[in-house]
Amino acid sequence: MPSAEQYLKPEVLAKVARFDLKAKFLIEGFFSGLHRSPFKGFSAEFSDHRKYVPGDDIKDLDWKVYARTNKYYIKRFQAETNMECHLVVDASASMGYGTTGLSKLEYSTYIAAALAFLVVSQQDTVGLVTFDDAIRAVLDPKSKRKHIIRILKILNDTQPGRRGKVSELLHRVAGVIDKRGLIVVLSDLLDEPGDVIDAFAHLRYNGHDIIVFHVLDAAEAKFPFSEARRFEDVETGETVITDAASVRAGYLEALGQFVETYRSELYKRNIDFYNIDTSMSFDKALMAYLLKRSGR
Amino acid sequence: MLAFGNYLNPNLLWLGLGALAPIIIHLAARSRPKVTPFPAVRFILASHRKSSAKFKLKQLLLLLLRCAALGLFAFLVARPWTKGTVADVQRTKATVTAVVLLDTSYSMGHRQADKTALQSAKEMAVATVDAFTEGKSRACLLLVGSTPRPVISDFEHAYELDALKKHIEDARSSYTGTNCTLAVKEAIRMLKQANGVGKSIFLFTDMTAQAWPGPVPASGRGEDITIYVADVGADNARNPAVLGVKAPSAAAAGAPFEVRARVDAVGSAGQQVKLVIDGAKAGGKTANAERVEEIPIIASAGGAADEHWGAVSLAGHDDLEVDNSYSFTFRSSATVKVTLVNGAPASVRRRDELFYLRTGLAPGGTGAGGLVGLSEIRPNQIEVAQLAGSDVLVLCNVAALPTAAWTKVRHFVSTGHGLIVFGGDQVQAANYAPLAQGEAPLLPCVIGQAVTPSEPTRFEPGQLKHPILRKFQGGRNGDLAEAKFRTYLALSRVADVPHQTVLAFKNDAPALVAGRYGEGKVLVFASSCDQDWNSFPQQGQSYVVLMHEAVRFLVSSAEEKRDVTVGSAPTLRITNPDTVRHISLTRLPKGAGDPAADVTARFDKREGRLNLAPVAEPGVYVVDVERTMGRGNESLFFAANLETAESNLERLATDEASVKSLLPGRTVHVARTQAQLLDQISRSESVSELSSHLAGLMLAILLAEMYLANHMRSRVRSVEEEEE
Repeated sequence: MPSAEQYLKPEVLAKVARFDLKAKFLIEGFFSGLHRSPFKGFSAEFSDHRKYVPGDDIKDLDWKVYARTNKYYIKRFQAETNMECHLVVDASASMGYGTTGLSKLEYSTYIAAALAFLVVSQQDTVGLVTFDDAIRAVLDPKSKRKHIIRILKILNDTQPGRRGKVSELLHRVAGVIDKRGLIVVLSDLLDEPGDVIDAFAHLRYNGHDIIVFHVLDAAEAKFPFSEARRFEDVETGETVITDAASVRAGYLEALGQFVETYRSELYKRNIDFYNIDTSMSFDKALMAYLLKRSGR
Repeated sequence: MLAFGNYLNPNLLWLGLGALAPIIIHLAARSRPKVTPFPAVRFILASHRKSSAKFKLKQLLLLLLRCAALGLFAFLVARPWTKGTVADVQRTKATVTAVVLLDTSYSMGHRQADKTALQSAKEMAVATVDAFTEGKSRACLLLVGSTPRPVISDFEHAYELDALKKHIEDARSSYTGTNCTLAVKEAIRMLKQANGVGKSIFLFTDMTAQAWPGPVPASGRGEDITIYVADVGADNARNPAVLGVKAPSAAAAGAPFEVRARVDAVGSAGQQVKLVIDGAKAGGKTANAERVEEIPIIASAGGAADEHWGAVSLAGHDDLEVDNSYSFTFRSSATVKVTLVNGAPASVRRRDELFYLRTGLAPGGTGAGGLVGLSEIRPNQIEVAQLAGSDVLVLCNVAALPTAAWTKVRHFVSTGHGLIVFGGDQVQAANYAPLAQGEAPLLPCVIGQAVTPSEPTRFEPGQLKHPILRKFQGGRNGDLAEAKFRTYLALSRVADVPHQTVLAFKNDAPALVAGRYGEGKVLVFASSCDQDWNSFPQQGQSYVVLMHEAVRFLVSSAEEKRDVTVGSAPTLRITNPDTVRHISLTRLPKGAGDPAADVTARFDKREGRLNLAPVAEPGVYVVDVERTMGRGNESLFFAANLETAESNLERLATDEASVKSLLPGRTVHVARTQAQLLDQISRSESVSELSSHLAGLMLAILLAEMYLANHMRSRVRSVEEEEE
């Protein structure tokens, strides 16, 4: 039986049958690898002490320490207010593509499910939006365990839909989510980068923190083809017959520019952008969330 | 400027279809590309637009390179060649597929200054071969004689030019005549069958007129052979020579006989012509003619019947000595034995049928040891007579003979003896009729009834060309036309039987008819041998001479002609073959010449014939026949002489137009010196195989193909490695 950390590997997790178990194993695997991590917890949990300096709130003084040491120390807590986390999963047709045993959508739903567990376990609320050519499912953020089950069910039932225009849908999502929070977007972003960036700007304008997981299939990221092929676009049906080896360099260059455009433009808008592919372990995504969460 | 478009192996050009193979493979192996669903086609399209043109160009270039490589391979194995002057193509050497014709006839032994024409020809030939490119040129060698003699005849083994030069240097005179026409024809035939560039014939000859019996016919298109004629002969060369000797093949022992020597160009200053018989001087005469002259010399053989040899030679030296002597052989016998069959004997001497014939053939009487020995029998004695001891049988006015007697006569004649049939009143035509019938008639004509014209007729001597009549030429030995013939037998020819009317009457009726039967000869005389039907015996001299010449004519059939020309194979008849134990052949003089060769294996015992190999050198040869004990050994001579037409050094005009008329339709160059010949070779059109250039081009194409294919493959490999 694989150790908990093994579940961070997509190929291992893919062998687990039940979707909820997949999420649990993923979280357990993640945390077993984080036993020395700097994350101390959230909400009202104690963090550490520091010396009192004038101006500090008296109520934060740790009187027990003063009684023992006759010195003033401020008791620090990591307690935060409840954060609303919205998981936005792209379920358009292109997300159904996969060459490693997992489609981009499956990979994204596993991450989304794991994040949902993670968010709820930290007393935050989590909601879900899925879309393809339209918004398919919307769950308002909640922190109850039952809510997790509903999220998992929706994610499990989500199938790649029709061709969707990501930028347009993100604008709609901006309309759906009114309370400020953390929006985690899982998408291949196969749309015009300018439009998509405008949509993210729209969300950012609404006051959301945004993490973008740009999910690509391993074949998309590396283009491992080497012979003449007829490539057919899974969304548009557009075809091109070409020698894969000869177009590979150009392809990777174009993809690199595409990704770099997102990275640089989103960075300018204070949006975290992570480029991942389905051959990578899941911890990158979860770690990105925790880093973001700890920074709030 | 190099012309282009010839191939050594044009049949292999079909391999050029292989150039289509990459295209065919491309079309045949072209499958529908694998359909690959992909989300990010937009990026592929962006790259595809940029790289597809370049990729297609590379693919097209690769395809063209492969087609070119295969096409070039076919081109390479077809061995194309360019044509230009030797200087253009090879600078100093010529690449040729050549036949070297070296005239080794004996006229090439003619000495000019310090060397013979053959030596000059060999030096020029070696220098010419030196001008051929080693390893690329091929050359065969034919020695030109009466017939061309191949030394190197296979072009597959003709690359060794050093071996060719060695053969040329080792070439010796063949003692034969020349036939350049035949040699050039043979060379052309060889070149037509050969694949190669620069097809050429190099003929080294003295250009004597007799060597070219006719032009070499043009053989039409596609021959493309250049002929170089190197003339090594001398103009106005004078060559005293003995062109031939007329001597009897048989002579009466001790009796004088005439030898007529045909000499040429002995000069007006006079030159001694010597006759040697059996190694001893037997006569001589001074000749002083500028042209051909026949010189009679009287000689005599020894007193005993034997084999003899003789030679006529010119005293002194000239520039071509090999033809200064001419040999001959003959046999002498004590007596020619003639058996006369008297068909009408008479007690009165002058009325006897044989009276005049007996007197004419043997004036000294029968058995008196004269040149002709006579014996007489009656017709009924033929069956019991010892005919084997006779040379000639004469039937004089014989009415008829029994079948057994005719059978004996047939055998007698068929074994090389002679038969004369004289007419007369006793002759019964019906009894002779069967002898002129059947598949092998004994008589050359049908003997008919006696004819008595109203007026006596006479001989019509005509041209007197027959050997029997030659002694009457020039009015010598009486006039044959004087005798009157009152009665004669009507002789008519037999269909399909070869015969010769030696003499006819004025009324065109045949008078003397000759024919052959087996190895013997037969004469039929239409009239009688006495005065019963004619006055011929009364003519005296002409009668005696005609009878003697008739006997000599019949006897000569038994004398085989043994003397031959060099290059031909003599055949000798040896009697009593069963007693032969060993046969050896020696060239005279014995001991100084070649050692005796054992030729017993060449003896055909059943036929009694010794079939010798062709004689290579002129001279007198002795065949020593050793017989089993008690049988006695014997020696047979034969002479081998040069084909003396070769002695005529009269030359053809050697300007190019004249030589071209002998070799119509071909490119001909004539050179008198080595420098001229080499210059002509260097200026003439030559060829160069393009293989080396094409091989370089093909290498470049293959390298380009390898680079391009590897470049394209490396992209695939890097993708696969990254994938791994």
